[in-house]
Amino acid sequence: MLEVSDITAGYGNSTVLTGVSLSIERGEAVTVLGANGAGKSTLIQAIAGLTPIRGGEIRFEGERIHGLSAARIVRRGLVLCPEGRHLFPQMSVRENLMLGAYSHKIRRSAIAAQIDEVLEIFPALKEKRTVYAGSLSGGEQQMVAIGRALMAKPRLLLLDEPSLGLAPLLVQTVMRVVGEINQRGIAIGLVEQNAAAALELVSRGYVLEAGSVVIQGSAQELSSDDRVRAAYLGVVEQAAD
Amino acid sequence: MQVLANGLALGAIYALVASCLLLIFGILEIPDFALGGRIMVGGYAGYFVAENLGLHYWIAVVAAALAAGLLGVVSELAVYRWLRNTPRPLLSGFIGALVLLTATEITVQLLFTADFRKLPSPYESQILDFAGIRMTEQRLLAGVVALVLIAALHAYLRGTRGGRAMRATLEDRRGAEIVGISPAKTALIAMLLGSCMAGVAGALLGPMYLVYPTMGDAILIKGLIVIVLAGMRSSLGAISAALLLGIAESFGASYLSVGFSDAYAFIFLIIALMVRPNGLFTKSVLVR
Repeated sequence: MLEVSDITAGYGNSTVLTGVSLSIERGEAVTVLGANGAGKSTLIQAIAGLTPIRGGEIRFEGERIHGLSAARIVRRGLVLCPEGRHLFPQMSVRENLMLGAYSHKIRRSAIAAQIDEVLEIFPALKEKRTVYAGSLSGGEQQMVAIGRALMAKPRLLLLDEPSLGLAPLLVQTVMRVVGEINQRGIAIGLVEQNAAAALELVSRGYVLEAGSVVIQGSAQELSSDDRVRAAYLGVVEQAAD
Repeated sequence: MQVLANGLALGAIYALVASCLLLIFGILEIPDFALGGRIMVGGYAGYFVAENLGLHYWIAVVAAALAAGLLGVVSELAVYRWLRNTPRPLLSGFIGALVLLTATEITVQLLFTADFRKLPSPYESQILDFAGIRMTEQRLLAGVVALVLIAALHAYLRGTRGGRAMRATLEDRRGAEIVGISPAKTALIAMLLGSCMAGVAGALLGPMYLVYPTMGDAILIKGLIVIVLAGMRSSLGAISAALLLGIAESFGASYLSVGFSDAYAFIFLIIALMVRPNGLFTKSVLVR
């Protein structure tokens, strides 16, 4: 469904990604792990069309999408839920969700029906739909951000650090929701620092270090990989001798 | 009462110009001083249609909107769009806008000389007398049209898909791009709307304050003062500040001296900034 082949990207004189390749199959959930500054966000932004790539190729459902505007990419069903949420703080939850469907020129009644559908997934937002998004708690805002992304009817949903800054209990909730979304047949690309939470959810993963993929494999393989355990799962191995 | 009414009519025009400036600055992130040039081009377009073609004043107003709107769209496509991709968009935009303003004024001066011209309007000679307040129909009309346009702009921003996209861009540019709103398209629409309204402002002012190449400068500065008074953001605050400024100017001109009428705006600004340095109508904002 998504094929990223050998892409290079950066800002100004600095190169952030060098020769990154990865793929996500239809309906699959895949994670990209990595420390701060490893290039995770640049990777996900390049896929979503927000950062230009300098080399390589990005294909979505067989067609090249690099070089297309972010708006075009959203319309094809590849939707990003960005780090830091980027909600519209002085608009109501309802308006934020409405704008999620912006790329599909559909009627108001259809949008309203879709909002009801999305609110089924986030019952806590139901009574807050007229509240300004900016006045919600961090967890609620993350729900709105995911809900807004769902309004665009994604076939592949990219999530950039959805657990960032949330309390452990909320991280669980967010991950559960992401799992539910995946169950509905929507492929997930999850960029996370919280490797433990991410690996419980996905089937495969990649580890990004200094702009390159250094490890890839199934979730089990990654969970048992010593380097991943030491660097991202916080497991300290006993000294051998 | 007389002075108050005059001030309100003038203030409504300031509010219109300030609304245009705020919209364009918010979306383009460029301080569009060249809007003053487009106000003036609106005045000239109106003058040409009403005086040279002899058509009705309302047609002149529409022509003013079209001419200024066209110039705005061309400015965006030919200048601002490129300046936004430079390493320092705010600075290059600032300089670019000043260049555009000067270029517009010089071009018009070369074409039409610097003579003062009076945009003919049938409403300028009609004097209304209502409860002791005497004003020309033109002045009343100018105030009312300005307020109607502001209301229409707000209705567009609140109630339509395009307007919502524009507010989204104002609130979170990246967020807007992520949901599929094209920044280039939004900028073009903001420029078109803001410029058309500026053109109308020129045609409304033309019969009262005459048309000449630098006619946009004073009104532009008033618009900027209004924005500073209102604290840079709030559009409702800008409207209130504009009306207050109009009233202050009107009182100054009536009771102190007409000769200094453009100075009152600055005196008002200085006093207001001493009392409320964050703007007249700002609340303390919670920063997250």
